[in-house]
Amino acid sequence: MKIRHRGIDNILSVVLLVSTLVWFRNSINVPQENDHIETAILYSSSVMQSGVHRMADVVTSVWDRYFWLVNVEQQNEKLLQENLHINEQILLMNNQKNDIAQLEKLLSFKQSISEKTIGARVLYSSLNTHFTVVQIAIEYDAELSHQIDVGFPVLSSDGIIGKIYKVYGNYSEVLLATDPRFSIDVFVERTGDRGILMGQGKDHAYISTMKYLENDKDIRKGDRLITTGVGTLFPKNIAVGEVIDVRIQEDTLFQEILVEPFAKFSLLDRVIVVIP
Amino acid sequence: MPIILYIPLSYLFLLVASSFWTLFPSLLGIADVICIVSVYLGLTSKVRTHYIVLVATIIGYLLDIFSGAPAGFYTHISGLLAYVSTMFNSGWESKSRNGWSVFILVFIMSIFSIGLQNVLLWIGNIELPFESVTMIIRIGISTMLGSGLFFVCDYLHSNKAFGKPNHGQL
Repeated sequence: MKIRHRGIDNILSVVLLVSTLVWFRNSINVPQENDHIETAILYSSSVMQSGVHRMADVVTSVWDRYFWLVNVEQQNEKLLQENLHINEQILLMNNQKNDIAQLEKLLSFKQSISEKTIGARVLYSSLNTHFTVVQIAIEYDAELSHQIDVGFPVLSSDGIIGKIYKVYGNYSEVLLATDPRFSIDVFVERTGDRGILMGQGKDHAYISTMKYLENDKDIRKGDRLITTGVGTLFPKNIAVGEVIDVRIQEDTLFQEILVEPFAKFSLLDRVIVVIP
Repeated sequence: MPIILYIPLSYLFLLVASSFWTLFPSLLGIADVICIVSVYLGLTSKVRTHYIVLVATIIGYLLDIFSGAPAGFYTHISGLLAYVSTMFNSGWESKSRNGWSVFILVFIMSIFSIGLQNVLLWIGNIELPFESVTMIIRIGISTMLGSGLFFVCDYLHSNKAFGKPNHGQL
């Protein structure tokens, strides 16, 4: 009886594992569509995450403002009270100043784009270092948020961020430009030569690669890459990144070009979604 | 603790970890650590194998959602890790367990888990650069945090956390 049970257990387990493997293969080959369970989980998580995100902001703020001042308080409590008050004011003002500067930069960038755009806030980043996805929330323009769809470009004032990967309510997931599943048509600003920018999915750095640029084309370290607007929903002439390394391999037709995106992915806070 | 409770616990952990991402210098290895939960379930649970694999695949599915990985990626890895671990279930008694044996076991399973991820990436034709230093760091983080997680799970399973031992429940 025990052996029979074990046999059934093994068969069921293997069937389960084979189905997950087939599911994985299909999800790679077929464009991603949310199933109902996934949508429900992501939507309910997003609502909770908005709350947790605000809590994280408070914790970060408390940590930054008070933690290292505990020792100072022991040394001179009176001085600390005064310092705390002043520091709080300065930090608050600095935060507001940074926020305003960031928003002004984003606003002027937004005005430079002819397409309709919508502002969003970054809620969380993916936990996997290869597959770089961030979740964004549309906090304003609720009417426009319903127009957001998979593939729509996401930009920051520094350059391209990525494209919409999944949509659920007012929340969306963005596939970053450094993800290996991301690709976009770009040209070298100095020479006009075209190539395809693809994410690398590096563990420790936000790096992309420019592919299909022949060995005889002139490209140098420091060259800027710009979107061509061809083949995707991305607008034309958006800054993408800077060439940081060029390697010519004798045995291949194309150069190996490493690109560092202009967007600061690790500091993402507010982004804009372009509605083509 | 019934092993099914590991699903909401993993969900909560992923929810919190992904929300507090700005506080961490790097999230390298977090997904690998969650995979170690499946190893724990496979090694210690006294329920039927397919229940363990099912719970592990659900945890992997949640990890897929939160990690932005292609659907089925961690679902498969997590399930497979749990299934492989169940093969050593009977030889893994808590009496013979100590800090070093847990550490070595988690180390081996971390290598296995990360290796498995690379095999799946290869099967899925997803080109990623091989970086040995990052790989070593990931194995290190996964081994350290995973070993700690084993003891936390042991505590949850013990009578200290829930009043009575519940190894045999789903």
